[in-house]
Amino acid sequence: MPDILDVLAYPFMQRALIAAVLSGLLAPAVGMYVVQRRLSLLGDGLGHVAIAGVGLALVTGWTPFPVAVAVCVLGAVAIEALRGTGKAPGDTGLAILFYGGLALGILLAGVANRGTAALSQYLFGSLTTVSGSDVLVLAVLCVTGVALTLLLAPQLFSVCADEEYARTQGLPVRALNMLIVALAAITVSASMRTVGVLLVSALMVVPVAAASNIATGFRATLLTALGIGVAVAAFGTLGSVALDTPSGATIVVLAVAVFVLTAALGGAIRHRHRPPAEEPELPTFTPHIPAEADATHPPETLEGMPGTTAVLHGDHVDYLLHGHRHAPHGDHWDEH
Amino acid sequence: MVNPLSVSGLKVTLGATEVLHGVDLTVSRGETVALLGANGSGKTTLLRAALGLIPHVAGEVKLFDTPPTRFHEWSRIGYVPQHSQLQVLKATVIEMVRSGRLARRGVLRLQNLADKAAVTKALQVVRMSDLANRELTELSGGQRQRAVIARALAGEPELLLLDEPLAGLDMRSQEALAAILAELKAAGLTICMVLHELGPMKPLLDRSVVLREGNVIYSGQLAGGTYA
Ligand SMILES: Nc1ncnc2c1ncn2[C@@H]1O[C@H](COP(=O)(O)OP(=O)(O)OP(=O)(O)O)[C@@H](O)[C@H]1O
Ligand SMILES: [Mg+2]
Repeated sequence: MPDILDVLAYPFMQRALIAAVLSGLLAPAVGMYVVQRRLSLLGDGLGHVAIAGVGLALVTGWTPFPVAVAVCVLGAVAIEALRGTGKAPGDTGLAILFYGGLALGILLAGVANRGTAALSQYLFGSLTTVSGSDVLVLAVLCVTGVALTLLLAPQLFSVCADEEYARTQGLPVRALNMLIVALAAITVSASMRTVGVLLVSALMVVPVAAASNIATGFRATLLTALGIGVAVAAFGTLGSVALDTPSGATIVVLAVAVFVLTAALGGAIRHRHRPPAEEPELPTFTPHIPAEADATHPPETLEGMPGTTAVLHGDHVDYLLHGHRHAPHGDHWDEH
Repeated sequence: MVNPLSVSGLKVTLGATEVLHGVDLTVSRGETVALLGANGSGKTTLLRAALGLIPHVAGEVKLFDTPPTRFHEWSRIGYVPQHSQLQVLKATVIEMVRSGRLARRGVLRLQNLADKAAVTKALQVVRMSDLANRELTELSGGQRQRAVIARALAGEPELLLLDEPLAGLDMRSQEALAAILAELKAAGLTICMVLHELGPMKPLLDRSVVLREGNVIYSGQLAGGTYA
């Protein structure tokens, strides 16, 4: 087993780690909305379209990565534009587009005399061959994508929650829907080099699913998913080096393991913190818990209660006040 | 003075059938109008067409003297849909109510104190403060309806369109809603709401409009009997 720290001294390994972490950040940020809109299979299909872009690049001699991103985004925008006009391509239409794209990519790779071997690094990911310019493109896409999902989070949230209501708030619903699909396409194609197009949907969906096992609230779930995404990408990459396994698969298997773990953990939390059967009357003393507070992102102190300190205690957070520990439990406070 | 809502000769087709056959409805500033009529008479369709959510084939719709397609001041309008599909993963009550401020907040602006105060107040009004951090999927039907009403109130609108706001509310919540609407009405709010039973809303109503099979069959003072 190679020593992890020694391996990290190699520039190619550093590039691999940076690329993996960027993917691990972007995929759940976009995945949050992809899951809401039930587009995870669309994401998968778009990966097939990206392969057509790789084939095109192999034939023309262009750099595969940017071409694949462009082709994939164009395909996604076209599909969403058709959907917006009510002429949604049906199930069959989408299948034709996706498998047509994949077949075209393989065909073009053959024409370019590069065979399917050249494609496999895009299908399954190939972190260790990531070049400096790949990292740069990925960084630009990732920063743009994550910034958009976070800055427009209230708007995207509203569109996902209730499209009609969003329109009565004057939101550009069609443009926002288009943005979600375009971001999905960017994520899929950007993650080709890290986890590969065959597994990228997993990186969009699984961290979000894992986060929703343990977090409460949309914002908290989004932030938790980002954390899980980055963690599995980084540790998956290091693990793949230590175990000499394919990086993409290692990352995804790790993500699934985290999902299973959080599912068990979430079940235990729900069991302990069963909501009260009846609406409670207002307690005489109600410290205000900021909306952002939850088990994974506890606030440092309680608003309106200066002098409290947050202390992690098992699966929840205690607040130190007057030397006693107070833990939120449903709608009241336990003294520990 | 500009009427908050004015609809004339409105014809709407859904699928292959014409659902509204030339409806006129004007709600003037400060007025509270009840929209009555049997199931399927076209009340929801009228509100949705008035908001520009569905297109009309003939007639005219104006929100504050502007057609919905060219209307931009959406912060002046509050809407409580009849059946809200709130399918967003993990969202809590307060997160959903906050989205009622978006027309005011615009893009790339964090919540300010006024936003937070309006959300807190709206949650109080519908008696949902205790459940603010509860996930929407864990609410009862009536609680969810109260959250949807809070979302509309949080926007502090000038014109409030409510589609069966009392549906599923217990008596205490109905009275609480009627009380806040009375208060807001006194401050100048214009209200148009679909009702099947007037209940505690009765003292608020200035006028009722009755639909039958896509036509207005009555518009005027509240008469004694029931309509639906
Ligand atoms: N998507 C649709 N396609 C075709 N017809 C529709 C559609 N939606 C509603 N309709 C028809 O339009 C008519 C009016 O419906 P609408 O929802 O406006 O009634 P409503 O007065 O709000 O009834 P309710 O009291 O049950 O809410 C009904 O006859 C209904 O069958
Ligand atoms: Mg209706």
